[in-house]
Amino acid sequence: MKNSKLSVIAAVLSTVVLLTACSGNGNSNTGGNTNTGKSSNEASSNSTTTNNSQQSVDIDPFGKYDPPITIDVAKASSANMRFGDGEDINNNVWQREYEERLGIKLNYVFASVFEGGAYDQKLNLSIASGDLPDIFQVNAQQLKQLVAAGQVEDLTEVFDQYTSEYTKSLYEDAGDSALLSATFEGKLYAIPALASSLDTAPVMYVRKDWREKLGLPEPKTMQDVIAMAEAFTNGDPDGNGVKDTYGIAFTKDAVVGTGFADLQGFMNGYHAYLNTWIEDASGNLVYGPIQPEVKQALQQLQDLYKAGAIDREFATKDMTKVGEDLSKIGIQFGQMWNPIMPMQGSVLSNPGSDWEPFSIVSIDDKPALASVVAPVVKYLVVRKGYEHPEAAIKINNLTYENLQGPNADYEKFGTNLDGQEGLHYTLMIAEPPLKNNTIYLKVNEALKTGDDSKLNSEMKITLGDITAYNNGDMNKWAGAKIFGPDSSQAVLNQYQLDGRIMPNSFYGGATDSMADKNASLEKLMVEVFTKIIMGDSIDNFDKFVEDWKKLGGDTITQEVNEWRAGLKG
Amino acid sequence: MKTSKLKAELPLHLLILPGLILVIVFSYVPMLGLVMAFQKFVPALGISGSKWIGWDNFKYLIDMPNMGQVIWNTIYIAVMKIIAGIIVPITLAILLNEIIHERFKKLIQTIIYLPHFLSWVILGGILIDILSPNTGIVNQLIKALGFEPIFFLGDNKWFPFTVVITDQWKEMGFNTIVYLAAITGINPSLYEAAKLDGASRLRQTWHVTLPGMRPIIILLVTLSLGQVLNAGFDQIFNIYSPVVYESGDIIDTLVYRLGLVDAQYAVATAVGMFKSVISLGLISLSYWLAYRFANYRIF
Amino acid sequence: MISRGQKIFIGVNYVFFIILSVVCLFPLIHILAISFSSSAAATAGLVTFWPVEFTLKSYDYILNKPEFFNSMFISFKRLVLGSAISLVLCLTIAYPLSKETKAFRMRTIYAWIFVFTILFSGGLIPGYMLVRSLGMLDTIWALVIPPAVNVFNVVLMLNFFRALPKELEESAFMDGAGHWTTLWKIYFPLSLPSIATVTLFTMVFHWNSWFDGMIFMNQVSNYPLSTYLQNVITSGSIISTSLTNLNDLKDISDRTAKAAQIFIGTFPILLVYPFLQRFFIKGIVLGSVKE
Repeated sequence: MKNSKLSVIAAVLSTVVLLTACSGNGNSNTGGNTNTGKSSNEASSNSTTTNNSQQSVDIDPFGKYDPPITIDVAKASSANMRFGDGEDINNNVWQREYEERLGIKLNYVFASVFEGGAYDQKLNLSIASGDLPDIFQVNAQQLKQLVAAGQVEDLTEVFDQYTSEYTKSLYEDAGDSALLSATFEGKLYAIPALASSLDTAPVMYVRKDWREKLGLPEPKTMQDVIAMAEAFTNGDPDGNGVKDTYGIAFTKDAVVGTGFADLQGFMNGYHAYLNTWIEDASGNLVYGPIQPEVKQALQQLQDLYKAGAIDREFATKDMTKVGEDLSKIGIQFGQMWNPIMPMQGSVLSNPGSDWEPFSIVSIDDKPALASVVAPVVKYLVVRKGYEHPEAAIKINNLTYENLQGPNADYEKFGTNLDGQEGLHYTLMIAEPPLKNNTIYLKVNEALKTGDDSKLNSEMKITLGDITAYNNGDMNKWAGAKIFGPDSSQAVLNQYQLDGRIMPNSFYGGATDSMADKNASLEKLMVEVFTKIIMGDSIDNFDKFVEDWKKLGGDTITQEVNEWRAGLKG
Repeated sequence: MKTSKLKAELPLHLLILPGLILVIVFSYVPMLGLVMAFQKFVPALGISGSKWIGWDNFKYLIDMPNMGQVIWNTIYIAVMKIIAGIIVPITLAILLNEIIHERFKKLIQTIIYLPHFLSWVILGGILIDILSPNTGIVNQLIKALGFEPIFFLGDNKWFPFTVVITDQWKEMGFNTIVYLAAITGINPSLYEAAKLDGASRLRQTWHVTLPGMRPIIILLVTLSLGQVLNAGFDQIFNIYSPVVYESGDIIDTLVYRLGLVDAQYAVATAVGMFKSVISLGLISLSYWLAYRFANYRIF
Repeated sequence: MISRGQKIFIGVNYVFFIILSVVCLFPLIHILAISFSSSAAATAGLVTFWPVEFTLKSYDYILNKPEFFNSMFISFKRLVLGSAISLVLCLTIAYPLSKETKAFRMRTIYAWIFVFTILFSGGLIPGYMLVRSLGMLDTIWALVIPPAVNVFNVVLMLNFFRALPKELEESAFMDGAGHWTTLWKIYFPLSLPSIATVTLFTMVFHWNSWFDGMIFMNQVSNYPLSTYLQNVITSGSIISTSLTNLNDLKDISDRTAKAAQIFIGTFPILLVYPFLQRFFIKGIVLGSVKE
C-alpha cells in the first residue's frame, strides 16, 4: 500500500540519518549570507549568544526573537524516540537550542503519535474542528487540501529571503522536484522535508554463502539471475538434502513495493518501471506499469513460479513473514536499508549465511536503470494568519545547520553516544539528499588511506564498526553492508556515477482523477499481476492495460501531462 | 385514573432519565454528523463548510469495482459467523455446565476467553504459519491422515470457512460466558421435576436447559444481526491477500483500500450509514417476528 | 447411579475441554516466548514455544519508563470509574425497560431510542467535536462518559430482570417498597451472575480501549495504558535504529516489543476474572432460595 511504503521510507530514512555524521561536505561556505542580512550570525559554533539581537525585522536566517515567542506546533513522532532522564518532547537539547538561538519556544499541542495513521487522524480532527496549530507537519494530501481551502500561508517570499546559504544548497542538491511538490500555482506553500531519492533505488541482494557453495559467478545479466534462482531452488544450497529453498523472494506487497522483496528491481532489469511515470518516445508522460516490457517480466516471473523458484505462498506473506524466511531464500530485490531490518536478525540467527548487495542487471545490452522516487513525504506549513511565518524557515535553517552544516555539532544535536536521539527532537526530521552517499565516500576513503582526520566522531564510529565487522564481529554486519566497501551504498554510488537512474517524472500532489481512481486502479493492478505470476494467462495483462485506460487511466494520463505543461510554463 | 398511573410511572421515568440524557448528548447529537455522507467532506472546511453533493458518495460506493461480489462475500461470511456464533458457544456452555469439578470449570472458562485478548495483527502472523500448506501444523496433520494439503489462506474455496472458524476460536469465550450465566439462572427445581419424570441428562438438556436459554439466544442472535454487514474488518484485513479477494474481500476492506487510505471520511460515513440502515431493517424484522410468533419482546 | 454411557460422556467431555484449552493456549504461549526472546531470533522465525536467547530487554524497555506506571494508573482510574458509572446506568435503564408495557407505557419507545444508537453513529469527527466542545479533552471524562451507556449490556440485563419471578415485585410493593428500593434491595442481589458478566465485559472494554485515548488526549501524561503501549511502544512497521544502538536493536524488535505489550496489557484482566467468577455461583444459590 502506498502509504505504508512511504512511511517505511520515512522511518528508514530516520534510521539511516542516525548512521551519520556531519560530512564536512564543504559545498557551502559558512561565510556570510548573501541575503541582505547585515549581520554575520553564522554559527561559529559556540557563539550562540549575540547573533545580532536586532529584531526579526532584519532579514536574518537565524535572527533571534526578542522578546521570545511561543509557537503552537505539531508533528509526528518517530518510533522509539528516546529521551534522557527527566527530558521529554518539551524539554530537551533542541528545545533549549530553539530558545537560545532563535528565541522560540515550541509548544507541542499534541505529542507522541506516529507518522501515518495515528498522526493523520489527530491532525485531521484538529483541522476539522478548526484548531490549526501555528506551524505543523502535514503530508502531501493534507497540504493540497489546506492550500485549496486557503488555510496556509504563502511562503514564497519568506523562503527566498530567510533560507540560509547552506540550506539553499541542499535544496539544489535535491533538484526541482522537492520544492515543486509544494508549489501551487507558482507559489510555495510549504517547506518540504528533504530526503534522498537515490536511497530509494532498488538493490539486488544475493546469498553469498550459497553462491560460493554452488560455484556461481557474480550476476551480470538477468539471465545470470534467473539461472542463479533456479540453481538456488534445485541445488540444495543449504545442504540438508531437502528441497526447501527458494530462488527469489517476494512479499504480498511486492507489486506496490515496501522496499524489501519487491518486484521493482526485477522489473527494472527488463526496462519496466512500476509505480512510475516515464517519458515515451514523443516526450509525453506515460504510466510505467502498462508498458509492454512489464508483460515480458511477468511472463518470466510466471515461469519462475511454476518452476518453484518463488515461494508458492508468497502472496499471503507480508514483509515480516518473508523476513523470517530469509534463511531459505537466495535472492531478493530491496533497498539499501534492508541489512538493518530484516536481514541482520537472520544473519545473526543463521551463522554462515551472508548476503551481498549487487547492482540491478539487464536482460539485454541496454543497461538497467534503477527506479527512484522523489521521496518528499512531509511538509512544514504555517497556518494562514500566523504573524511569524519566517519562524518556520529559521527553524528549518537551524535544523540542517546544527546537524549537517559546516558548523554542525552532530554529537550534541544528533545522536550522542548515550543513545539519546536529539535528531528526533527537531520540529521536522529531514536529511540532506546526499548525506548517506557522502558518508559512504568519506568512510571508504578513510578505510583506504588509513587517515580518519576528515571524519567526525559519528563517521569514526561507522568506520570502527566496519573494521569490527572485518575482524569478525557479526553484530556490525548491517553497518558494513550499508556503508562498507561491498555495500548497498556502493551500489547506489555506482548508479549515480553511471547515471543509471530512472526518476519518476511525476511528483505533484494527486490530481483530481488520481484521488478518485488511483486506489481502485492500483487494486486492479495488484490483483492481475499477482495472479499472472501465480499462473493466470499472460493475456490478462493486455486486458488489464485496456481496463486501466478505460477505468480512469486515460484521464489521469491527461492530467499528468497537463501538470507537466504547467510546470514548464 | 390517569394521574395516579403517571405517579406510579414517574419513578421509572426518573430512573431512565440520566441514561436518556447521556444517550441523547453522546449518540444523537453526533448523529447529526451523518450529513457528512452527503457531502464532499474536507477536514479543512469542516462539516459546515463542505459542499453538499447529495447521493454522489453512495454512487461512488456502488460503482466501486466488484462491489456486488463484495457485498455477497460480506453477507455470506457474516451469516456463517452468526450461525457458528450460536452453535459453538451454546454447545460449549452446555458441555461446560456438565463439568462438576468447579476449579477445572473455572479454569476452562478463563482459558477459552484468552484468545479474545490477542489482536488480529499478531494472530495473522501466527495463522499464516499454522495454516501453511507446506510447513504448517494443521496440514502436517492432514497429510498424516493421507489427504492433500489445503491452502487455507490462499484458496478461495476455503478462505471463508477459515475466517469463520478462526473467528470462533477467538471469540467463543465471550458468548459462552453469557450463555453460562443464563444457564446458572435456570431454576434448579425444573431439573428436579424433569428427573422425577425419568428424563435422562440429554433430555433434560433439551427440555430444560435450552428453553431456559431461549430468551438470551434470541437476544444474542438479534443483536448480532445488527452486525451482519460487519463481517470482521480487523480479522480479514490481517489475514487476507490479493489471491483471496474474490471470496474474502468484504465491504469494509474494499472501502478501506479504495477510500479510507486517503482519509475520505465522507465515504466512510456513507458506508456506515448504508450498513446501519440495513441492520435497522434486520433488527426490526426479527423483533417483529419474535413478537408475532413467540409473543416475546426482544428488548 | 451413573450409567456407563454417562461415564464415557464425562470422560470425553473432559478430554475435549483439555484439547480445546491447549488450542487456545498455545498461541499465547508462543507470544509469551517471543516476548522473552532476542529480536534476531524472533525476526528469523526461530521461536516456537520456548524463548530463544532469553532476554528481559523487551519488558525492561517498556517497564523502565515512568510514564508507563502513570498510564497504568490512569487505566485503573478509568476502569473503576467507567465500570461503576456504566453499571449504575445499566441497572437504572434496564429496570424500567424490563417492565410490561401496561406498567410502563413508554417502555417500547424508550427501548427503541436506546437500541437505535447501536445501529447508527455519527462517526469519528462529530464525536470528537462534541467532546471537544464540552471541554472534556485531556480529561478522564472523555474516556468514561461517552461509552457509559452500553445498550448491549442494558439489553442483556433487562432480559435477566424479566426472568425473575413477578411475585418478587408484587410482594415488595405490598411491603410498601417503591421502585427504587425494589431495584436495589431485591433485583440487584438476585442478578449477580448477569451483573458480573456485564461488569467483566465493561472492564475489559475500558482496559483495552486505546483509540479513544489517542484521539481525546493530547498529552502523553494523560494516556491510559493501552494507548501508551500502542503509541509509544510499537510503531507500524520498522523501529528506527542507529548504529550505536545496534546492540539494543539486537534485543528489541517490533515483534518482541509487541509481544511484551500484549502480556502487560492482558495481565490485570486475568487477575480480575477469576474473582468475578465467584458471582456466578453466588447467583445460583440466591436464585434457588427464593422459591
